[in-house]
Amino acid sequence: MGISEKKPRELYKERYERVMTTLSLKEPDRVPIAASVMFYPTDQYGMSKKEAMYDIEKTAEAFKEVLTALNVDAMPPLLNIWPGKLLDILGAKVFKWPGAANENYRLDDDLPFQFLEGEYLKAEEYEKLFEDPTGFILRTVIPRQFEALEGFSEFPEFSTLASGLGIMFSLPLYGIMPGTKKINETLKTAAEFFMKYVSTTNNYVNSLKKMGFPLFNSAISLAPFDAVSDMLRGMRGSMLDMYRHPEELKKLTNVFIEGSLNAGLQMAQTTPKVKVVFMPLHRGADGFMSNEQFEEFYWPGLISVMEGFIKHNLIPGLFLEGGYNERLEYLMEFAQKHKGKVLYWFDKTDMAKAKEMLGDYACIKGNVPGSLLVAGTPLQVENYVRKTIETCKDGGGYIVDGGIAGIADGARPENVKAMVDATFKFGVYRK
Amino acid sequence: MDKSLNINLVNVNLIQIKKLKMRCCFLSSFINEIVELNEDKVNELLKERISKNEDPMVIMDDVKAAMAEIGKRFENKEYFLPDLIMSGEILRQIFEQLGPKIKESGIEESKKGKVLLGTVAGDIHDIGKDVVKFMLETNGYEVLDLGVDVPSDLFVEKIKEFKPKVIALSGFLTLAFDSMKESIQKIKEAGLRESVKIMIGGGTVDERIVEYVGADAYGESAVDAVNLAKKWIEV
Repeated sequence: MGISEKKPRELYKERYERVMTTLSLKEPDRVPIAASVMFYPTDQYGMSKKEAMYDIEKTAEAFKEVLTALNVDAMPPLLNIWPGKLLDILGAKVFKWPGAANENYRLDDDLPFQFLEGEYLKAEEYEKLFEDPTGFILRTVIPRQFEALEGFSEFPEFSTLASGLGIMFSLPLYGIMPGTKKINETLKTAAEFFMKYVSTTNNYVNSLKKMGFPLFNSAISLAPFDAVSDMLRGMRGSMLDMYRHPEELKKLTNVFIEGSLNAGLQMAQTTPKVKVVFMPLHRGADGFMSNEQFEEFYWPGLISVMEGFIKHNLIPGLFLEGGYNERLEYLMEFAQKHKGKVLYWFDKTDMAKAKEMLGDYACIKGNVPGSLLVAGTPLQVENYVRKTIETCKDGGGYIVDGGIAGIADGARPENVKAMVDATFKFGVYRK
Repeated sequence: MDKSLNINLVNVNLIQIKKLKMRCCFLSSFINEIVELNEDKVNELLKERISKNEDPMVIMDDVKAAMAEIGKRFENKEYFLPDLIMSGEILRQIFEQLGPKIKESGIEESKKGKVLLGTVAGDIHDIGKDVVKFMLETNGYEVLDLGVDVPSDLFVEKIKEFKPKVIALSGFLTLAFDSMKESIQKIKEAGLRESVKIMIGGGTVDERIVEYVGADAYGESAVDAVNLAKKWIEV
């Protein structure tokens, strides 16, 4: 029976099983293809990147139309495109994005959002933070990162709040400060927006299901070191800390284990059937640090988060951006302990080597290069996909996807089609 | 080159090193402490040398020797980003204590050639670019870093002013491919393409992109960038 003759319900089941079988290291009927994306669908739909970030409903339509037409086996969530409106409401100072209300953070309409890295937590503030993490983040760090939340800097001290008289006096006093008024408005608008956003994403997932397409992942989580490095200490700060404040750096990284885990679990609850938690790694790649530094600062925290997800019957899906050729031993050691319960999505790593070392223990995914999808020809893409499938398909445990960010922004549609077609053509295990 | 000559060269080097060590033991340990990235020790030894009224230019020679060794360790994959960043931080403190004049005169001499560097329009990533800058500088090249999100016209303008032999275009996002293409196109239109060699590099860039954008070569790492500059400048 051809695809067109099957009912969406059957197709949904077939696609879902294909992916789940592959993840558990068994051979399905065909190698699955999961389309990860950033702005490819909205570009194809004729939307600017600004429009994609500000009109999430239309973005959902673009995802559905462009990606389901490709007959992929699993669909990406909408959350890869951050809602610009929410960033405006919060007055984010840590990103630049197209259409930002504040011109200091505004990029041209057709540029993707990007991080503005900084030392939002200073090296000399470690001790203060450890004394009272919540208080310090609330009063000092968040106001540095979000303009609309600057009023949190005046939030009363714990000791004041803890006494009955204090709370009767200091809390209402806090309530009448100008910054607090702004916070109240912000929370209200953010909540209203968020409700709409959640309903848009729910509708997206439900209508995909009706069309016969499962979601690949819905939750996202970070390696604890990256959480510290991206949003608090900056890359430069976190790397200097390896020399100047190694113990503090490790302690702070440990603080983020629970946070990274809980954020992922909370998001995963919204879609119980979706097992993969997306974990994009930033600083762990070859060249960013030595294996010794990786082992000391990066890997332990990440292991704890991954094991936390596995305990909850979820599959940590690491996106290993850049090359991880020097770290394959670590990835192997972890996968040996958790066979069939982890997914490694590679970008520039040698797939043959990865299959050889990890194939018995972990599903791998990737890695059609963005450069090929953007600047190559359909034949070159077909050859690449064919070669990678031949290298990786034995015994299951391989999913076709792009390298960086999946289908790279700017990819040529004919190349994307060639990637999908090659999967259908060369990925068959059994008819 | 025959083997005996090689051995002779090695011997000469060893003798020179021994002489150096005998001349002043804390001098070589100063180099060593920089290379080992012992920040406190470096500052302590530096204070000592300054208090003895040593010629700052002599101290600078040691600093250069140390940075060259750090560059080598990076090439050999013994040092990584945290180590480079730390060495940059140590260097900054040395310059601060020796004074800004030293920095200028230290840089003026013995420059091997000029490289114009920048992350192309639309892209604000700087990690790769900064590592390339560091490695080029420790290898003796004069680098003009235009920063991130550099408009294509600015490259043209700066080529005219700075007159580099080599242009290094960096970019992390796939959109950088088209920005690189446009920058090179503008350089061509300004009639400057023949006067420069252009290398590209960064996250999603690879050898497939060289032809697409009209560059001369792609570098996978900062070490490649140095080797390309060497090849293009030192012939």
